This record gives sequence, structure tokens and C-alpha cells, in this order.
Amino acid sequence: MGRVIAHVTIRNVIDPTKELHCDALVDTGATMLTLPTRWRERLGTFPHCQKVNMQVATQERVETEVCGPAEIQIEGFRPVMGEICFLDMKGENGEPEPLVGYITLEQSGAAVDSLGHRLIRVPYDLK
Amino acid sequence: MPKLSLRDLDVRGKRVLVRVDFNVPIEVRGHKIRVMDDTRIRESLPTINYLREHGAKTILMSHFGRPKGRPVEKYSLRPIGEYLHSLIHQPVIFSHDTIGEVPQKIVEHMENGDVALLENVRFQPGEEANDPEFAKALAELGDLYVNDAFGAAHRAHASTVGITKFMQKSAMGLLMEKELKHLRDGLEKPAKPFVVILGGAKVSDKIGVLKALMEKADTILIGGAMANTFLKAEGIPVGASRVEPDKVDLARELLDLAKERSVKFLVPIDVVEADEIRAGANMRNTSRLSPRHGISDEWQAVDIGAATVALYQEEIAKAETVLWNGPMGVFEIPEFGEGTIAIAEAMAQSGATTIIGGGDSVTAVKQAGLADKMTFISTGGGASLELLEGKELSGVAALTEKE
Repeated sequence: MGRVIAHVTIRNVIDPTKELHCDALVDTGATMLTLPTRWRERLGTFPHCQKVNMQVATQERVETEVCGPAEIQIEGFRPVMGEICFLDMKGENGEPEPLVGYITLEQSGAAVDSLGHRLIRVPYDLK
Repeated sequence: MPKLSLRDLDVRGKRVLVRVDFNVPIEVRGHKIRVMDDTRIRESLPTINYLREHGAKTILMSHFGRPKGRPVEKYSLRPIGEYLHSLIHQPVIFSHDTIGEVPQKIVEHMENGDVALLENVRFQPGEEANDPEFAKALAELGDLYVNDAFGAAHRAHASTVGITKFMQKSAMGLLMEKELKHLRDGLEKPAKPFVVILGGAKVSDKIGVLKALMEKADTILIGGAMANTFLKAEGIPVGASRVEPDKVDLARELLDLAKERSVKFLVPIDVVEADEIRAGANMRNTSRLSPRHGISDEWQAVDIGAATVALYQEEIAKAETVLWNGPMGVFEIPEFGEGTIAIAEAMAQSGATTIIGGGDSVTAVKQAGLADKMTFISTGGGASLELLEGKELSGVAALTEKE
């Protein structure tokens, strides 16, 4: 399918002065927006954080921390309220790679255009 | 006076606070939480989807378990929010707090069509105490209020009653409407013969319902442990069966009342008795019960017997309307569940209007795979009993009247 990268802005809802911008890999196999643990301090204190045991792509189970609420905005899409999963990431070149998961995509009304390698807007489907 | 319905509200662009009943049974398996019976969640979908379709900002609130006014992780609604996501195919924004800054910020960011779920209202001591301060804090999150939690409508709590004092308009949701249509309006003048089947553990829980239904029913069939108290009132030995000794006189009064009103009031003519209440216990069908031949000493009734099943089946077959509340025996143990299942099957085959009034009989009907054969299955146990008693439910009484 190729890689789809999206620019994301994340803001702590309770302390909006704390925000960060990053490029994140769109990963429809991931659940939520996933950031490296070491970036957590840049977003300040969240009212709710919970240790969650999750399975990662390598099938390993790892301890992560899910914090929120945060305002998450994928560039070109509306900001949404959600949670962030903080995980000790090991990138290919030592650089961690944030992930945009399917919950964030669905909330934002974004879908992957696998031919155009981009995100496109989709209307909500009332099934 | 009729109450306002969700359909009477202009919800587009409005923040609509919806009290739902997501108090569903779950099972924790490793890291996953499985919803064992999602009926209550599914039954609230018509209201949720109506609001999404009409461009409302839907803020759901519910209780879950009995956390007694403090946060208890196992009673968090978060997994239920995730489950709802899978049903509506749209993320449900979860607020870890029920009131305060967190839900306020979340609601501020909502757009038309979005759905949010607040954390368990019973994490707050003000919920069950119907505290006006808590009710007001909840009310501040919405412009309109909809009560769709039939199962909690008999309780005067902050999210079911108190909140309505702080909302301009409070209406009933589509599930609430459906429940009232079948259990209140539908049974006001039921097609005759009207057969009522009552079971369960205690006579004391059903006194009001029994008295109220004697005004309308042609036949009342009794099962479950409550039948033992009636058997004792008729002078039949009940062995070690569960009885409410202080309700024997009342049972006698109820039997007399039925005679007075010409209601056919049937109690088991035989039972299945067991030496213990556990799977694999020794069990047998008693002979025809009489004051001389009752349940054996040290043994207890665990189900209605074969002759009773046949008698009850015959009555159900003649009915035009059948209402059932409460199992006929200890149906959680499959060996003791045959009478309960037989009643469910008789109802399914009857061709009558069949109404299951909530509680364990709903579980029994589902276990028998007969849910789709019934006319209506209520989502509320206690609420349906109160409604059948003829009481007005506090959560309904508090809603805005139609002009």
C-alpha cells in the first residue's frame, strides 16, 4: 500500500499551552494515536492516565500508558477529542515513529487512499 | 398527561444528554472484556442513531454495577464505549470523568453527529442520593435531556430524575416509548384470556404485581421458589424448600382474593425435588402434591414438575395474551431448568401476544433460543414490575409533559 504520513497537532485539553506537532505514520492496524513515551512531558499533565497492556506489531505484549483527553488534529481534518497511547518506541534508525491509529482516523472522518498515498475525507456512515 | 418524546425535540446542533442503561453483564478474559449480553446496548441504538442522523451532539450517561459512589476500575464504562463503537461504526469519545472540566472540554469539541460517553454516574455519591448539585453539574453538559434507561426509570436518581429540574426539555427516548407501549398501554386492556406467569424467589417481591394483575388476569400460574410459600399456605409439606414463613398468611390472602375475583390461580401440582442445589445433585419428580404427600423432608423444590408443566402448557395454549416474569425453578443449573424452558417453548408456540417482563425470564428465553419468537421482551426487571403494579415510574413522571 505504501506509506502514508500525516501531520498531526496534539494539544492537552486541560492545559492548551502544551502542544506538539509531528509527522505520524498512518497505521490502520494501530488502535489510537501512539507517541513515544519520551515525548510525554512535552504535553504536560493529563487528568487521566492508565497503564494498559497492549500487543504490538511484533506480537509482543508491552506495558503502555494511555492518557487523555487530548485534542488531536490531523492536518486538513477537524480536531477531535481522544486519547494518546505512550509507548517505548524503537524506530528503524533509532528515531521513534508516531502512529495514527484507526480510532483517530475514524473520529477525524479520514480514510486512507491507498492509490494516492494520502488521507481523504469520508462522510459518517449510519449503519 | 402524555410525556414529550424524542421525536418532539429539535435536536440539530444541540447537546443532548441521554440517560441509557448500559448495565450489561461482562466477563473479563485475560486482557479483554467481553460483553455477555448486549441487549440493553443494542436496544438503545435506535435513540442513538436517531440523534446522530438528526445532527445532535449525543452525550450518553449510564450506571454500571454497584460501585457505591466511588470510582472502581472494574465498573468503568470505558470498555462499553469501545463496544458501542463497534456497533455504531463511529468512535465514541469517552470522558473519564462524569462531571467537571474533562467532560466540559470534550463536549465543547463535539460536532453534530458525534457521540460521547461519560464515566459511570454511580462513581459519584450524588447519583443515588439524587443530589441536586450533581444533577445540576450533569445538566450543564447538555441543552436537552432524553431518558432511554427504562431499566433504571423506577429509581429517583440524579441522572434519571434530579437532572430534569435543570433542563428546559426532558423527553423519553425510543426504547422508553417502546417499553411503555407494551407494558403499560398494551396491558391496559389485554386480549382475553390473559394468562400471567409469575416465578422467582420471593412472594414479597411480587405482592403488588399479583394484586394489580388480579384485576385483569383470567389465569395466574405460579412457579419458582415463591410457589413454596403458596404450597405451605395450602398445608402442603415443603421439606427443606425455600419459604418466606412470614408471608404464608399473605399467600393465603392472595389465594382467597383470587377466588373472590374469579381468577384461576394455579400453583404447582408437582415439583422436581433435589437433595441439594447443585449440578449433579440427586433429584426426582414428586407425586401429586397434597397435604398428605408433599416435598420430602430434607429435600427442596428446584423446578416445577412434569404434571405442572402439562397443566401450565394447556393454559398458555388457550391464552390470547401471556405475560411472564420470573423463572419456574433454579434454571441456572440446567438439570433444574426444564420447567422454565418448557414455559418459554409453550409461549413461543402459543400464537398469543407474549410479553416477557424483564429479569431472569429474559435470560431463560434467550438461553432457549426463543427470544425472536416473543412479541416483546422488556429490558427492565424492577422497572417492569413497578409498571405492572400500576405505579408511575419516577424517571417517566419527571419528564416534560406534551403541550
